[in-house]
Amino acid sequence: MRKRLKINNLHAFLQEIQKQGSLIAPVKTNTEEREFMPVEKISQVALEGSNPLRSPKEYLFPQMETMYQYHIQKEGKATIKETLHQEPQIIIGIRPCDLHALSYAKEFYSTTHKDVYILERWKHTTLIGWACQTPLNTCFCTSLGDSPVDSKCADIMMAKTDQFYILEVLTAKGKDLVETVGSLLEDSPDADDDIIPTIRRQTEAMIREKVDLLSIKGRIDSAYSSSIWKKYSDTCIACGACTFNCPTCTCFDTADQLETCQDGCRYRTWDTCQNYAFTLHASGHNPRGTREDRLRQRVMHKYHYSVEQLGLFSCTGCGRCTRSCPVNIDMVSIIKDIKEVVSHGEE
Amino acid sequence: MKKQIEQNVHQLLTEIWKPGDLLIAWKKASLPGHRIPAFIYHKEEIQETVFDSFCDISLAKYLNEQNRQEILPNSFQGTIHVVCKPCDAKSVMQTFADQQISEDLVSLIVVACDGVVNRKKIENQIEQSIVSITETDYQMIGTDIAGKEHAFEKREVWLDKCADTSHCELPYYFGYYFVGEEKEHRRRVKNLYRTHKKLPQDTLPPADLQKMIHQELSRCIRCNACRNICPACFCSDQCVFDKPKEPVKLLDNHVTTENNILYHMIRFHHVAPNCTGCGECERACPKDIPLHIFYEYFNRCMEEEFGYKAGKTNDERQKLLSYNLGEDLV
Amino acid sequence: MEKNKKTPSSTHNPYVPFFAQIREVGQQTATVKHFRVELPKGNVPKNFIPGQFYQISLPGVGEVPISVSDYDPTNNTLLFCIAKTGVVTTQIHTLQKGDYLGLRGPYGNGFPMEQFQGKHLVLVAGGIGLVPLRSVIEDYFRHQDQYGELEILFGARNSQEIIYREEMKQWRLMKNTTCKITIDKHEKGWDGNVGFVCNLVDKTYCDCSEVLFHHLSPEKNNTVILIVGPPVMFQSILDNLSKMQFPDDSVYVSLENHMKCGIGKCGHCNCGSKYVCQDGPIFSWNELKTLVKEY
Repeated sequence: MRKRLKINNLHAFLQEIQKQGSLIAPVKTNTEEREFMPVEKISQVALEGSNPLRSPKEYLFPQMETMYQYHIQKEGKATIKETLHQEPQIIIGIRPCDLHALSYAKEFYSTTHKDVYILERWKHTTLIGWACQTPLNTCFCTSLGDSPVDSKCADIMMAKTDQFYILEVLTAKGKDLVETVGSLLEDSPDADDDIIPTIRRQTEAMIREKVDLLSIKGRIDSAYSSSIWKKYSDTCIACGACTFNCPTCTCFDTADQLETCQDGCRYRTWDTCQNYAFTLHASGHNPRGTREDRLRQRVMHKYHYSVEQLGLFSCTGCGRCTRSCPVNIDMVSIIKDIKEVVSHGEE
Repeated sequence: MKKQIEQNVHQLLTEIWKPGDLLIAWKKASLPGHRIPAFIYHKEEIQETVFDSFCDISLAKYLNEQNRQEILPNSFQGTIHVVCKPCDAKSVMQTFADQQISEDLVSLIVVACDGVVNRKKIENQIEQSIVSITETDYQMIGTDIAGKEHAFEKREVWLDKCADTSHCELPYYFGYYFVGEEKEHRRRVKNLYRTHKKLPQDTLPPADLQKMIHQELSRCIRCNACRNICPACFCSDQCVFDKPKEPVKLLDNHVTTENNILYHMIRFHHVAPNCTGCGECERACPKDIPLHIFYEYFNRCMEEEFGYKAGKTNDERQKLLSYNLGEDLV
Repeated sequence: MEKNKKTPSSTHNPYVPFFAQIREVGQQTATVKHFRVELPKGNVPKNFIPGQFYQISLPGVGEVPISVSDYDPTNNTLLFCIAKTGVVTTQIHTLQKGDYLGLRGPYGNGFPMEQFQGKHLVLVAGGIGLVPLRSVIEDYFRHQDQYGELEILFGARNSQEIIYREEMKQWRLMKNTTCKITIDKHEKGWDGNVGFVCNLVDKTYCDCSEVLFHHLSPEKNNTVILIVGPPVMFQSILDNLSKMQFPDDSVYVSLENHMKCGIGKCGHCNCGSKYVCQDGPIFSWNELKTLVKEY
């Protein structure tokens, strides 16, 4: 089912869907940058433009999350109260690179022991995608075989033309949401079939470079011992800014916190594999003690280990790593070097 | 003029570089306006280095003990040549004073600089994918993917620290090379020097100041970019915030405004004796938190209370960590 | 704090521990204590495999992964041997009989005992490495008719750090079982083996020019070697076994790693494309060879 929304009905549309749950969209902040945030004033919503630097993953996997609260009784036994987040939320304006990242994350958290917290949030979240028309020079989704208009796990996919928006409804959740705003939407005729393919062609032409990683998918382990890693790790300061903004970075750390001597909580926070202490053993041994090891780990994980584990690249080409890096390391340079090494053997 | 200075730098480097040495300088990265540190072990690569208004990264960070050990090959016996802007040179001085590296191993090349641009400011204003950014004497011109040109006055888009030329003072040290017109540089520093810069601590009443600090630091995501890029932070992997076995709850990862404030206050206290005001922390912050309101204030306190400015010489012991016998106790 | 609706999730939450009561506490060495805990009825493992571990949780303090020394199905108890090394383990050491521990598990892949049936077992333990191997020993004695002979080679840093002294006296009495202990350096009053446990392996198996493993014949492939200890130790043993051309699918190693969640989600124990908490901690030697070199 596909619908049309007139350009000047956007605010009314957003106001209606906001009644269904917490609305999260790219909003203009004080510093003129756009960021995915809960919408307070509809007028601040800025769907168009480049992808915000911070990904929307934090609304499904928050930076800091209480997992359960406990009340310690005598002899150390505690009663436990899970803190699951079950409030409905709608996230709008998600570019396909982020949609791809969210669907990878969902798959990752659903293996064997399911991560209940994220899956519960996911159940209560409606995702509205946005066909990308403004890539930055750091974007490289096409190198991973993705496109700037893929709807992946979106419930509704939106795209903009000069006169109207189209909304492609893809799931039952999307249909339910669209029905609540029925009067604002019109049916979309067959002539609209070409809108998304056109956006795809135009946007793909704007992407700076395409490195063909698909042809070496599954073979990247041969780059493990190459000199690429030292070349980039000499510059890398192991700050982890790339991992915090990366939409597919899923690692976390857990800890306990006591509020009183009997009551407290177990919480988790994002953790970064770029930190020295990430793999530090109790014995003092650290298998990834140098920045070279850690940089290699991050890149190999994105392009090879996740392929071995789930059959998927865990990079989606959003370019946030390059944008966040304080020392200007460019992920596209790294993957070009990898391609060179794997295709032609060690230089 | 820029091109000339770059040529002069290449000429000097070609004269002083010997086989077995390492040169740390900047070179062009693949993206427009990006400069990346280059670690050069071969003479022919010297010509690839650049020096222009995009050379924002301070290269002093790579001299501290931890980084040096990871970068240098085991067999390294030569000299490390480091190209610096005057603000970075102070960080190198402080690295010597902190005994992170012996000055015998380093050959410092300071290049006269008239400001470095904040690439984020240009990118945020252009918004589209940028194809190229070029510079003239006073302007930066960005061309977007649609072919449209956007011109900016350099002074509108340079890093905040460049507006205060007290950062550009040359160190009191005789062991460095200077590329550029020294007289011209000193005149520029003196004439453009701002005698006082208003910080929020000067203008806001305490309650508003506290509110402002809370607001800014509530945005901190504790990515540690500020800490890791800081040349004064040399604890590196032994940082007190990373000790996983210590049960000090105040230093944990709980990302709340209160904990963030604690993190930054502790960090600024730790680096107060050796912060040279290079501003890398603010540049590195992915959330654009104006960290200068902290380090400028701390540095001002150090100067007013102790008559001390980090980075001026290569051997002054850190004021808060040392004492002289017979000195009054504080 | 987030709002908490009353509807519980329909999926089991693997992050929430259940509580088990400590039935027995004993001191093994100055820094090692053992705890036998009784599992509540609803949390009895369907199929416990020797070599698996549990995440032991102390609310307010933290969580640590500890290997199971023994699972006794007759009374549904787990035995843990815990060394006092950090904040959580120090706190655990203060617990008495009747206190409770939070548990999550069992996690990990365990030793593939079904592949060892009919074979001789050689267990090589360095220090605290004997703890997970004890679960293999206990399983062996419960089903002794299914296996060949058992040889236990145990190396401790010094005589103070020898664990399971009483148990070893019992094991030595069992048929088809030999038990050898060595300490690193000479000590007054010690008249047993001295030297690293890898030398014990060499002395017993590698130095002799006759048949190396007296119950092994390489063509028959009927011996399995299980090694648990620090990397330095097992690397040295593996090097020697490699010279002997010992088949690499008959040697198993337990990898120690920094773990946090125990369920393959937090990323801390990620090693190449494997998670030590899920695909390990037990790896065969041929699998170990394919793991990334940093380990």
